[in-house]
Amino acid sequence: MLNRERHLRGLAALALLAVLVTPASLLAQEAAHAAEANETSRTGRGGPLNLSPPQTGVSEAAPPRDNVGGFALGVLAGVQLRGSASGQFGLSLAWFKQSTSNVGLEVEGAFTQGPDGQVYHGLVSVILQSGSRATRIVPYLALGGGVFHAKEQIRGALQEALPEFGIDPTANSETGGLIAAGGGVRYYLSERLSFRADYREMRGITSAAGGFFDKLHTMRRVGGFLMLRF
Amino acid sequence: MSRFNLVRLVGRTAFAITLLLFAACNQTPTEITPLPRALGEVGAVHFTATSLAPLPEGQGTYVLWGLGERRATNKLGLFYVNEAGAVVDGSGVPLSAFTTEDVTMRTLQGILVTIEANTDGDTPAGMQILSGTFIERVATLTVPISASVLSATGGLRVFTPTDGEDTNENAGVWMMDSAGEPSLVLPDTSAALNYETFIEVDGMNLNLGRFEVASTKDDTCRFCANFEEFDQPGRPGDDLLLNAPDGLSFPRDVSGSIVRISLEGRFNDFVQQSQLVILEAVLPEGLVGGEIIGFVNVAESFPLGRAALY
Repeated sequence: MLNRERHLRGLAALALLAVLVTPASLLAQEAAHAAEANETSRTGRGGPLNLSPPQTGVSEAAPPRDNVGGFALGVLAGVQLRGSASGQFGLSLAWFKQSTSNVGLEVEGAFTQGPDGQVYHGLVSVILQSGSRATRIVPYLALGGGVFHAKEQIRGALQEALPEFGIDPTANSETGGLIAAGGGVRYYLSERLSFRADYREMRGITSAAGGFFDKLHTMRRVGGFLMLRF
Repeated sequence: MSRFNLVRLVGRTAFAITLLLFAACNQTPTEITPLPRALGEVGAVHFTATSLAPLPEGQGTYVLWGLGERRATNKLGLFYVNEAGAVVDGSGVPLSAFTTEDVTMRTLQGILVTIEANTDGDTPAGMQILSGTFIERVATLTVPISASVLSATGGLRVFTPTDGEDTNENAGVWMMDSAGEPSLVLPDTSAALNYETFIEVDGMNLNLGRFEVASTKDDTCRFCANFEEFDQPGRPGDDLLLNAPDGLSFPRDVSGSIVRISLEGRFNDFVQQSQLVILEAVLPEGLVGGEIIGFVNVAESFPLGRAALY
């Protein structure tokens, strides 16, 4: 038990470290690249961007500013692997750093229809990806946090039977925090359109009794995002 | 390495390690709250029973089993029944929720109650007394026998065929009519249970043998006479003529005794008669032999149970 708690505390510390380090890195890099761009513009060095499709598997030098950065809107469809393979659907809005697009922030809202209720969640994630679109395939890592709202649904025979066992059949709901980590692969279908295969480990912080680690509930999502940059 | 690259490397490493550690854990809260419940998690099997009898010392312990996919059985726990008929734990505390970490509760398809002599086993080996199938996560548990047991009927004939005619005629009971035809109407037995006849005389409950169908003889005639010229009839029954247990003397007039036919476990059955008595006949005083006595169906007192996955 002690080992498990120590393990989980280490995990939480690493997650916190990553969350703190990434935005700082993001801002610092953006500032540095902006300064570099200004210098390039002032000295007349540099040239037009090469956005022609690269050969698959051939890595090219990243352009100073890759226009895969910026805002992107996505739709999500996925499955919760834990439990009974509940379907999940949602929308996301992502912003990737203009200079190299290797770091981004994403806001996601999704709805999960479970066998005995619904779960709504909102999630803000930091996305780290391999950066410029040197190839069509871009792996990425994600770490984030958010909130969930779950509402159970008790129906039919079960609802009628629960009082026999001294259980109140009224459906309950709860709202709590959410932490998530994951990763995936983004595939660029075109310059603006990409598909992401995404895996996300989530921990819902429930209202269960006990300490912090006694409240966590594991959720695992495998999903796909269709992202449109604008 | 530049400062930015170093920061980026640390960040990515932290991400990767976090993901690996995160995925290694599989956590469920200490209690099932609306979040896991909405996603299909089940906290426990909730169980109640009515008319289940307390088990005497040495007559086994009730064990609740969950029936999973591919006939998998998972022990959910032991329980006892107090004098008031309530399900309790070993300390007498009321008990209704059973759980196990050996199986995903949501996948349970049925429920079974057995009476086990050895409660350490991982599979049910004792008498199956209640079973049911989950439909919409609720199961009604009944004795695993056809419902037509409630309409079982018949009678017994008082006579002693194994020592010839007109000798000790009031010292035997046989499940046949005066023409020698089967006198009981019983449903087919199940894979778990079969029938057994007991006679209660002078406060002792004697086992007269077990049988599958009423049209064939039972498995023993332990108190019968053993004259070669007088065969045992091809129906269940016994004469109380020989091999009297301590405390009784044979031939024994069956007047005033009680004959009961019950369901007993096919395997690992206990010596005492089970609580699943189907037919009962109270024999009047003054029997002389040749009487046909009707049975009363008492199967309505069979235990019932309910279970829910929640």
